Amino acid sequence: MIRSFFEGDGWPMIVWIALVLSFMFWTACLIGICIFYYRDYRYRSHYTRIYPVLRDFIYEHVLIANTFNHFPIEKLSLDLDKRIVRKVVRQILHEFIFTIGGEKGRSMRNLFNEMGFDKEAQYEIRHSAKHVLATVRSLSDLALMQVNIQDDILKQLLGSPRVEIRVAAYKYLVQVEGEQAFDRIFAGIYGISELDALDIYQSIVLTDYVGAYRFSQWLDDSKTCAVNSLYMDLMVYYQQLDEEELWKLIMARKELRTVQKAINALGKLLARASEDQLQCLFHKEQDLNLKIEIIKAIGRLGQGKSIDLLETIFKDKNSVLVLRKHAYRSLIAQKPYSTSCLRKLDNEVESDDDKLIRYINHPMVHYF
Amino acid sequence: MGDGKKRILIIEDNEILLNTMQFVLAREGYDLLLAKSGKEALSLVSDETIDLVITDLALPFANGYEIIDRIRKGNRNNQVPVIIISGYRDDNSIVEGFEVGANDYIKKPISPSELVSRVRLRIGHV
Repeated sequence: MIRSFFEGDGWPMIVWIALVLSFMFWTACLIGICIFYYRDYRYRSHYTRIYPVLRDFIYEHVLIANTFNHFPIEKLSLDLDKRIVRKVVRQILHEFIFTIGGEKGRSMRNLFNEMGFDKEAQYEIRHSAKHVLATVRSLSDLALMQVNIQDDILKQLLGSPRVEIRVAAYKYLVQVEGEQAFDRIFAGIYGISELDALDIYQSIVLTDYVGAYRFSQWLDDSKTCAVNSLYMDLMVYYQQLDEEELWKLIMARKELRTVQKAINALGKLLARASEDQLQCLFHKEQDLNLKIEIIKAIGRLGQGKSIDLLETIFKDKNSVLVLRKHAYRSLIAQKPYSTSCLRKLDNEVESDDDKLIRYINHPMVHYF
Repeated sequence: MGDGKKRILIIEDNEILLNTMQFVLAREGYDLLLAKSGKEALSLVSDETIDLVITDLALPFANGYEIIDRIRKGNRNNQVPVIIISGYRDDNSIVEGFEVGANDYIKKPISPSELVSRVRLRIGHV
């Protein structure tokens, strides 16, 4: 049957089908590109029209007349029921709110509310199950305007099964309540990715918070690497050394990446009392990544106590090259204690090791 | 300059902030020069007499630190007071700003009244 199909009208039929499908594909692509450019053009043309009107209104009422609330929005004569107009107005107001601070900034936030964006945002967060993106955007709007959300709704958002909504709610709490919200956030945080952790970390460090809160109290080996990484990143940023808690994580050894991060934090926080323990751990450890992290941490501590260990690793030709490279880097970091050792190594080394040393000192130069 | 107005150079690539600062300071009677990039700013610094520079840090072509450094090492306007306006809130950025020769540092978002007060503090009323 297949043979008769190809010997009869089969081939021309296949060619026709391919042509029709190809035509449909390219037509769909062209339509997609046209829609994209049309939407972009429509947005830009609205932006060009609305920006001067809104800017003059802000200058007149916020900067000159010092109006704090009850803005004469009707004078703007903007059709705020149109979706595109609302989108453009929201964008322009965001830019102004990010630019103007102080009391005028508060007036800007009131203007944002009076245009109905707070009600819209409050409505969106009540229907979070249906629209994830709208909820995330609304939470960021409410955080920007420093608007309080009813506690039962906030609880619902913090307990949402969607991680994007939970992260947006954590960020909202950080921006609106600051340090007061830390207990609530850290007690309930779960299921976030490392990117989400970084997002929350950025929200915290961008606030005016100066760092007296003990983040290490939340470190727990039963939590995921992303959650523990968030606490450790905050500890490093606010320079809060808690060797005991970090060592608990290392010894529990639940997740290798968490252990790696904890060793990294020990180095960055200059946990000088931990150097002997780090040396012991290096001898017991089998995982290469952890060994590298230990060597890097010892280098950061820079006390000169581990020069022999680092020299032995570097000289060991059977050792992995990357480990030897980090050992030499850590030796450099131990200066001035390691100056004589480095001089000795530079004089003693053979041509292959000489290449390695030159590469470490000048990583951007390619040696043959 | 003939009318005794103090001249301020504002270097900022964000149009909204640039326009806002222009509006606020023009109302106070200052004469303003505007630049949206490091390149434009450096040519204005070498050609014009300026009483105060307000600069952002993250700029195209040359960042704020480079601009301040070039101003301080140049022949013209090398004693001019410089105010940094930046979104960088970390200590290192602020300290580095003062080390290259800035006189003041304002964190974004700016308060217009604070900006005016700090400008007055440096070059006085018009």
